[in-house]
Amino acid sequence: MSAAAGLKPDPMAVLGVLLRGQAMAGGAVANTLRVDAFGLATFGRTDALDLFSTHPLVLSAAPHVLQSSQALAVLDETPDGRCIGVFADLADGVIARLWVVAATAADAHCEAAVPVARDDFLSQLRLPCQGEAVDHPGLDAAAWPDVLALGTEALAAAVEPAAASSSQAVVMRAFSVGGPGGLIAALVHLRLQEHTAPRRAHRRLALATARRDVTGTLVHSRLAISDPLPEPAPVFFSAP
Amino acid sequence: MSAAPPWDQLPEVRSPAGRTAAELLAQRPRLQALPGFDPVYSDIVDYIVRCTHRIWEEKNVGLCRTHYADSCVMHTLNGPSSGLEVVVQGTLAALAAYADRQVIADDVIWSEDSPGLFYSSHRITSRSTLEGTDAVYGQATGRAQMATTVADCVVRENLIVEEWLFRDNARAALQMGHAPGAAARAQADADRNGDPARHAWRQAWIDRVRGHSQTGKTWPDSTHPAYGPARALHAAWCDDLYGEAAQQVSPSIEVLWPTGRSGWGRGYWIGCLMQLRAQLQHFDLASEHWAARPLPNDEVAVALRWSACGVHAGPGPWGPPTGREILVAGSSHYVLRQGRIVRDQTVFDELAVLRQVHGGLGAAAPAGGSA
Repeated sequence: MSAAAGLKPDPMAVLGVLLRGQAMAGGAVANTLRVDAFGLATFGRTDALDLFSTHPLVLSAAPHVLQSSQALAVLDETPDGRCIGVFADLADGVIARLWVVAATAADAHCEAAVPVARDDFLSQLRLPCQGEAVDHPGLDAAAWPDVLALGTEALAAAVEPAAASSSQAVVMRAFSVGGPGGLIAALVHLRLQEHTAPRRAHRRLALATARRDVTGTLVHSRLAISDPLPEPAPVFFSAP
Repeated sequence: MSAAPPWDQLPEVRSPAGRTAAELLAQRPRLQALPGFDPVYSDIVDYIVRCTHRIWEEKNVGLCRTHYADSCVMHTLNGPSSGLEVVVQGTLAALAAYADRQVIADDVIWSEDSPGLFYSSHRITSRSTLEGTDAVYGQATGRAQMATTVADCVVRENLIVEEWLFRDNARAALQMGHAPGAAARAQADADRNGDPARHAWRQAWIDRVRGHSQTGKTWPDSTHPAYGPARALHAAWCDDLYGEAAQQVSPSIEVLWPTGRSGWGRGYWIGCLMQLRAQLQHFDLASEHWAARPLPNDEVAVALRWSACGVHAGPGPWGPPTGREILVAGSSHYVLRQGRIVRDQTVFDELAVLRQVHGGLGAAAPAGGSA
């Protein structure tokens, strides 16, 4: 598999073309590509191209890029100074899954869904950031506390007004490059409980990267947080 | 299943996950012994993906006649059908209504249950636009569907001999602009006319689940990757130990369940399982088939086909309790990382469940009940 991957174009080059809504000849994009971007979700390579052709994202000349064999994380800045992020799962060098952490589009929407009652914490001892290092094999295990710290920081940055004890971050993806003194990236799902009655929650995505020094101390971090994602209209089967 | 080859035999027979369309459709030399199969197929994954492409996308519907057995039986939660020409006619009708259907192979999780006898669990997300006439959704609305299906097939010598089809039909109804509850009620009203014996299959299926559950004969071997997910499902739905079940699950689990249910985390996963179980008392569960295959990045895909039944006695999204005995059958596709579930994509036909809730498919009102 690695030999085949070696023949494929650089995922960062493929990503740049894909984000502009163009198909690169021989481009390494999975047929099953699933995209969450701008408050829109698609499945399949052709729908992804359609999404980005109508919502093109042109990265700057020198975005901040972290890449491992299994993932690609990009942080960039828009012309108006907003930090945005792109995270891709790679499978044998192929872009298999993609999240864009940015503003939501004017036509953002999501499908209706059956509401599900949930308890994100399963305890009164509430952890603001959920996850376990074992689920992120591309991450230096020693960096896990830093990943949790980045998730907690993202949560704190996104909560307004504060209902922090009922809001939660879940680490969706995390990886590191370079070992001690290297870089880490974490893609985080934020579920933010608003301080309202009746209670409401909304969701955002966050992408954080950080540099650690040789002692493992975080010395620099960057953070992109999406706008609130659209919430599904509730499906009630028993409604007339 | 004890004589079957190991679940991870022939790693070169790869999942379609993470592969390009060009790679999937490229002709390859044979990678796997496929006695009696057409030479065009390199392996069982290629057979499933390529024959689906040839039939649905290249519109060679007649290939069904060389890919389904004359006596093939197709099981759905709306009832069984049998015979090759039923498959041909159903495919023609679907393509005449939705000609642009893209049948995207999300995964094919397979096992060779005895030499030359394959079982494949094919997860498909189909994109299609209604530009013809659909018996349920009308004419040329231009609306698009993007529903997920799992097709579990028993395959021998190039022929599908038995198939279980699970489709997220309530989601499809919503995408087509129809209220699933109203659609199910209309179907149930029609079901109450005519010979009730045509619904006998449902009670027979329930009886199998009840008997299966009591004997508890079928269970994955503890060394098989399906063991953990099957234990988790059993712990949740049969023992009502949801927290214990969630120990098999990553705190970062991604959950995709029917009718738009989508979320992250153990709490959401528990919520989906508990919502279904809370509506059904006297609950029984049967794990009916499982398979596992390697995925890229050292992950493992598990397919678990299950059937469950119970008495509709609790409130929930299906509406007020009716006292009817309800059958639910589906397939759960899991992704395991380091042995734990990081993704649960479960598919069952919630529209067919609602059809039973409304008294269709022979789901009788309880004696003395008001429903």
